[in-house]
Parts: sequence; structure tokens; C-alpha cells
Amino acid sequence: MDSRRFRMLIEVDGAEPHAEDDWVGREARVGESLLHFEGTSGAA
Amino acid sequence: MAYTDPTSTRPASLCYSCIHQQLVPNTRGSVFSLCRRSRDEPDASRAIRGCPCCNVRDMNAKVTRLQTAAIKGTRLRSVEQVTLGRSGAAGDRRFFLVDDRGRMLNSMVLGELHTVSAGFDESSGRLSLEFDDGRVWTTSSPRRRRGNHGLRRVPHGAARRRAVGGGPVDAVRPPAAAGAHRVGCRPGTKGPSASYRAGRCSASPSRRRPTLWTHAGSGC
Repeated sequence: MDSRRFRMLIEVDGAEPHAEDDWVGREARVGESLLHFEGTSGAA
Repeated sequence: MAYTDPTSTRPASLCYSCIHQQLVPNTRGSVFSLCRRSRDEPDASRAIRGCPCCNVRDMNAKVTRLQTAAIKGTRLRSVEQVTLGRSGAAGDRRFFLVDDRGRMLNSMVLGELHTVSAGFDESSGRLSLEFDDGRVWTTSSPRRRRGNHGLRRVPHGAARRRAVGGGPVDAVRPPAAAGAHRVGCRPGTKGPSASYRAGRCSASPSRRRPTLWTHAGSGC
């Protein structure tokens, strides 16, 4: 499936499938920004 | 996505896997490790060798693509960098389409929006639409077309009709002085906005023309 189907602002590689489900409540640094994952969109 | 030691394959400390670590080089070639938490938390040590925070797990993922769309629902464009704010990426989904009843259109409602690629040049205030048949429309200069908020109507054509489900498009942009929160339908709201009802738009609902609005300028 083409990843563009999910219309992601930020696309990452190297994570396990559905790893993002465990990111909720955590933080990640991308470049100069610190991101806080508040929840999933349900789009997938 | 967490920071790794750029000079060694072995982490110098637990902090090299911590998302709060910042490496600060000086002019003599030395590199110091700074905990960003010290900026907001007085108790956090500036020079860190290890702390509970360093238990943050490295996601071991890297960013491979950044994509934005100037108009909500249109084809995403890859970009080299984005500026993130509290409300999202700057310029992403800066505009969106509304139908003749003031309802926001998105790709769920109008799948053909995927065939349109939109770009907005902040410096010139020009919005461009590129259709799948290769046609490109660019708005006029804001300085020359103040009466129409700087954006001209998109001309008629088959490609345009496909893009908006058979109806013509009027592209308008509110004056810069108008707060973005005052125009258009905010995401998640229903019905036309006060600005739309007040007729502060060149395309009235009776003309049945989907209209391009701008909003807060961030993701929605």
C-alpha cells in the first residue's frame, strides 16, 4: 500500500508495524522540535 | 529519532539516547552536553551524566519524508523542512474549500482533490493550483488585485470542474488584517462562519460556487 494514502505530515522509517500505538503519552525529538503524542487519529 | 553520538558508535552516556539532550559545541572544538529540561525545570542539572529521564527509549526511527498541502485535501507535496508550532506545521492546510452552503470540503467528501497540487508562496502571496492534466493556475499579485483580496477567480475548464466535483471555483483570500480565526469554518465546526454569512466573500452562497477560504494556517 502506498504510504501517501495515509497523508502523513511526517513519515518515519525503522519502527515496527503499529509501533505508533505505543507512542501515545510519550515524546520524541524531530529536528529542533519536541513532539508529544496525545493520541492516534484513527485514520489507519 | 532520539539523539545518537555523532562521533562514536558507542553511546558516551545514557543521555545520548535521551530526547532532551542537546550537544553544544564551542569555538575550540569541544562539545558539551546540555539537558534541555534545565531551561524549564530548576532542579534539572545542566551538565548531565545520567538521570532517570535517560530511561527514555530510543524509537530507533528516522524521518524519511515531510509532506504538506497548501489546501486541505489536495495532493501532498514533499518539502525539505517544516516549521512546527503548537497548532501544527506552518503553511500546511492553510486554505480549504467550502461548498455553496459553507461546509468545508475535504478529500473524504471530494476525492478528486487528490488530483490537484496546491502551493502557496508566502513572500508573494500567490497561490498556485496544478492539475493532473498539467495545467497550472497562479493567482494574481495581491498588490494589483486588492479588490479581490489578491486572488483572482480560477478560470473555467474541465480540469477545474473535476477538481471541485463539477462546480466552478472562486479563489479568494481575506485581507491580511483579518484574523485567520475570523474567516472560514474552523475544522470541526458546522455551517458557514459569521464572515461567510455576513457576505465578506466575493462568492455568495446563491452563486453556488465553492470558495477557497483561509484559516489559522496550520494543520487541521
